[in-house]
Amino acid sequence: MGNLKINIVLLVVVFVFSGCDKFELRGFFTSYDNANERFQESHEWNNQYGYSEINVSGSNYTINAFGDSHVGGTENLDEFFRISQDENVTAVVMAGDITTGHKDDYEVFSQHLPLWESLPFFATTGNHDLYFDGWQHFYSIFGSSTYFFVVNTPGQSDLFICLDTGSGTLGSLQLEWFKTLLESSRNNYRYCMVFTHNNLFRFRPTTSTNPMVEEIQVLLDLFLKHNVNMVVTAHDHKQNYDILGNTVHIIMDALLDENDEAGYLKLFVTEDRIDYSFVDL
Amino acid sequence: MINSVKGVDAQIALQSHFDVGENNVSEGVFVKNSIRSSYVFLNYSVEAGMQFDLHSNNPNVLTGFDIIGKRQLSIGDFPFEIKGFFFLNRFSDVLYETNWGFRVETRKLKHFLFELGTDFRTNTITKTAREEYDIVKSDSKIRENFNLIYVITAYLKPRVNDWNVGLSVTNVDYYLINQSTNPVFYLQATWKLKSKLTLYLETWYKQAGILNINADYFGYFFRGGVKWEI
Repeated sequence: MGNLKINIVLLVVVFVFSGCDKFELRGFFTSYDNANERFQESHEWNNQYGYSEINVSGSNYTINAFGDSHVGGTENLDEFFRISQDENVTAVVMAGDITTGHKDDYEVFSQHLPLWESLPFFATTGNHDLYFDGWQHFYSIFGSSTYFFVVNTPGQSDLFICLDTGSGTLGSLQLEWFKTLLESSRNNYRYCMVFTHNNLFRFRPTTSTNPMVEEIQVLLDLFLKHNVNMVVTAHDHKQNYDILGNTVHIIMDALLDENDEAGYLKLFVTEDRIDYSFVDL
Repeated sequence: MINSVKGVDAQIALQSHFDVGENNVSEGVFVKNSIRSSYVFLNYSVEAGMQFDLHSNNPNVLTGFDIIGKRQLSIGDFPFEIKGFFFLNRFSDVLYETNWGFRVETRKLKHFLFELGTDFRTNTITKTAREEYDIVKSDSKIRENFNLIYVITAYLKPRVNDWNVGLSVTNVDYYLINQSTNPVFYLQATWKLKSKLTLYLETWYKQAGILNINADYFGYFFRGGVKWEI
């Protein structure tokens, strides 16, 4: 009986700390690097390289966004990049779970990523990107996972903020940065949009997790007080949306190859409003 | 959470506790106080409470109100209790949460407590904020329905013991219900100081994304309180 108990414990320990191909069960209990540590690295990167600004010639422009490509497979990813380049969109945003976290998958992803000069891209982490110590690979490709970028039209500027919720929480330092950014700069811009991986709301029964309710409450308060126009998330793999106040909350379909309803989000930014559509692949 | 002591005769109980802790969004230590009262008559009981933020980043002082109605039942020798609840959480000066639902509890086993239920959450923008931020009423609410709620507690001693220690996993607290995928763990100790006076101490630990995604620390708090059965 004693041996049986020891074997069961050993089995559980091996199971938890080894993981399988797509999930690392170790991550269900603890992170290789916590949200504050990643924010500090991102912040240092931002200080060194600055924030991107994109100038467009007209008043209207388009941004494409996706989440949950989970590379390995690159069929849908390639299609997304091809369409985005053909349509000459202003930028693309990748809202996490871009890879499975494996080094090999990051390398595959890098090989399929267009040059920034031909298609400006922005990314933030999802939980899968962090499995198997994936942050170091994410950082080597993208640098920061918490930052903003600005799109300048001839008459106005718009603020796009990317937040790292790969660990299910912003962490105290990133939240403070986000709050300070909104308080100090939001009024300088026409529109403000936030991209992050974890969906904040559960519009359907699902096993995908969200930030803690206390954290969501603080974010809702900030979104309302600072007129955040749109919050774009992924993680739940199924498109959804709702409106609270002046903020549209969007959840994107997964771009994952195996997903029968794979798709991405197209944002049309105009002088009067931001339109959006879910595009099926 | 301490659970009400059941009596056959009509019984009133008063309860008060303090929460002290911190988390990723609290901007330092928070201190909250809650007062509660309950009235038990035969198989029925009603319980209500209020929460006050004594030190926190919430601009409101009265931050919570809740009411719970309960009915004890049994099927054969299987006793259980059904509960309907409603609470208000004033987490901001521009938004508030209302939440209602029901759950079923059984204490059939001496060393365990199980609760299972569902809740319906609505986040609402206050009327003042709607006017200030020019928001139409139809965009002032967002709802989440049929969230699974649960409490599982294992006790060291039988529950009727004068002192006890228990470990719980749950997504429910008096004025906060997390998503089913965000379990919270807490260790509780109770000590019946006198026949009608019980002290309790709890340590709550919150890990964002635990058992689901790449988990990370979120926060903790301690709860200490007293319950007096009049």
